[in-house]
Amino acid sequence: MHERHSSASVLYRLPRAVAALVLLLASVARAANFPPPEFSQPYPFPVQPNPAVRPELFMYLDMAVLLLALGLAAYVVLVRRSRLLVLLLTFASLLYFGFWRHGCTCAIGAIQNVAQALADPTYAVTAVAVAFFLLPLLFTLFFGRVFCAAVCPLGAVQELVLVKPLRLPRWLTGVLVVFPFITLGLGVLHAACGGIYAICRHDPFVPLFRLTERPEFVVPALAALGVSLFIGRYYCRFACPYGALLRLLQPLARRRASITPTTCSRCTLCRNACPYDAIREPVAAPDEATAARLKRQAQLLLVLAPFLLAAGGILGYAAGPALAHEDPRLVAARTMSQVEAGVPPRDPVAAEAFSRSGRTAEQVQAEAETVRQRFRVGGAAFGAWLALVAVGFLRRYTRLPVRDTFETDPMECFACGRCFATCPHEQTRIRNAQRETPAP
Amino acid sequence: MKYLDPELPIAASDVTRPWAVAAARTAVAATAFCLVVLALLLGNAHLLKRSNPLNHPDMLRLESELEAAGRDQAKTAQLVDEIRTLDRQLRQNYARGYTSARHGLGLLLGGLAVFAIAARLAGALQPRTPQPAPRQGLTTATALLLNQRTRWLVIGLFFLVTLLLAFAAWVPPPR
Repeated sequence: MHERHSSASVLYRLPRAVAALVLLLASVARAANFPPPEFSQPYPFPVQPNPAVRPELFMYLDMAVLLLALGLAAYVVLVRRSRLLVLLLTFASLLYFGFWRHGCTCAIGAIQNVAQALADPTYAVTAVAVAFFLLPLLFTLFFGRVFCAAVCPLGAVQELVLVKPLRLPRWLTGVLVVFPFITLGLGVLHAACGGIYAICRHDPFVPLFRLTERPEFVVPALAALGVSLFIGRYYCRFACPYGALLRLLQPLARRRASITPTTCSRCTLCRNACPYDAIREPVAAPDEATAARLKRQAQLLLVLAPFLLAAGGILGYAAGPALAHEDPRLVAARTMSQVEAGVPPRDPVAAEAFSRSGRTAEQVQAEAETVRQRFRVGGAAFGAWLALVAVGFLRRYTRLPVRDTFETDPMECFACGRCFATCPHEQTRIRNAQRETPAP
Repeated sequence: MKYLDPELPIAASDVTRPWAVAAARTAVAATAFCLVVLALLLGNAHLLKRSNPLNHPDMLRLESELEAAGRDQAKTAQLVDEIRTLDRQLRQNYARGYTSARHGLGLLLGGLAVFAIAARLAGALQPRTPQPAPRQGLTTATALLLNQRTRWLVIGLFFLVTLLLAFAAWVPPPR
């Protein structure tokens, strides 16, 4: 009797609790709205190009949705092993994180917030940015790249528009996968030196989510969509800086998507189904002489690595000021110099703004010199990072992993589920499991 | 994996074929729609560029006339009036163009979504029989050759990056 009473009480209270929560969320949303000024004549209000800052409560809601989506992705990829569910979750993530949240905050951009916070103690990073940066990394460590599989809106839009996948030659993809590490280094360098958020600026898909109508954003976005029709997840594979981090972590994952948990008959169906070239063929062990040669090459690389890192650091240090070319403070200093020299500046409005700011040329130049110095130090780290990436990839290509069956590449697999959807053994296993499960 | 199901009727492909044809035709229609919208968007972008209120030729002419008018108050008042009218008209045109661009972009994205869904459906509904060709994978020699080629390309790429950095370090940026 008591139990019935308590369940009825919960049923009675639940709608009221939901209604209260909705009202609370709605009031918070309204409170954030600044009342627009009233004009006597019709006036078209300008459209905000970037998403407005969200109330704090909604930020926590985003974090909760991200956590939920990551958990669901891990469940459908590793437990249910259902390609259809992965696709549905991908679509839902695209709607929420893409078109509803306008692609911001995202894990890819959060790299820069975290990098800036680490380099600049005066910069306060939000909890949401940290969560968006860390949660997918943590999930990758435990469950593989489930974030890429079904949560990332950029991956989702590419996944959903892939119509006719073209297979690129393996040697070409082998080189192109280096680029995400370079973009990661550049993005971190610019953010850490307090400059521009280069990763967000060159993100090709965010203008689509924000329905930006400016041609300089629309044209690259449409071009990116066009490429995505034929080259599967080209941005994720060959440009995404966050993907570079996930690539490094996925081989360490406790569990990750596998083609079949049972047997492989080398039918190649999974390999043909994978548009990302992430399935590796069986390779026999090399003979002793070849193995010894590969070992010598690896040892040579190991000996050379410190020298390469030092050379990269020195070169990066020297090239630092040039890497800061687009930094707004250096642009300001250049504009100031042009104004002083009587040369018509490239941006007259900016020149006028600087002349009205009341700052002296010496102050602007001193700040520019500080920025250059910071970029020198950052450039040294960037150069060393590039050398480390080069050594890592050369080491990767001096190894010959021996495999008996077709396997997913631990660095390249997006856990999209195509391989286990086409594997005959996996389908037989699922069907047998369904037959053995008694109907409810 | 319907082909694995022994209970699947053989005529299943006959059932799916009309849907595949319909999906393919929808994809073609969506492509045509997208091309038309894209052409209109490009035209609109061109018009937007021309009707920018900040550097419209008529506005610049009136501004220079205003500067030349000097202390002629009657002419100045008339020119200011003309500038205000023209400015309002140009801004209205500009705002209208932006609204059109926004709607056009929405239509284009909708068309692209329809195209992607229809093309994927057309591909998925095509009756195909998978013909797996049993293979033994890569031979060790092929795998080694592939690795060697990729290694040299990676070396080439980083050589290029080094050259770029060296060039950037050598040529001082403008101050």
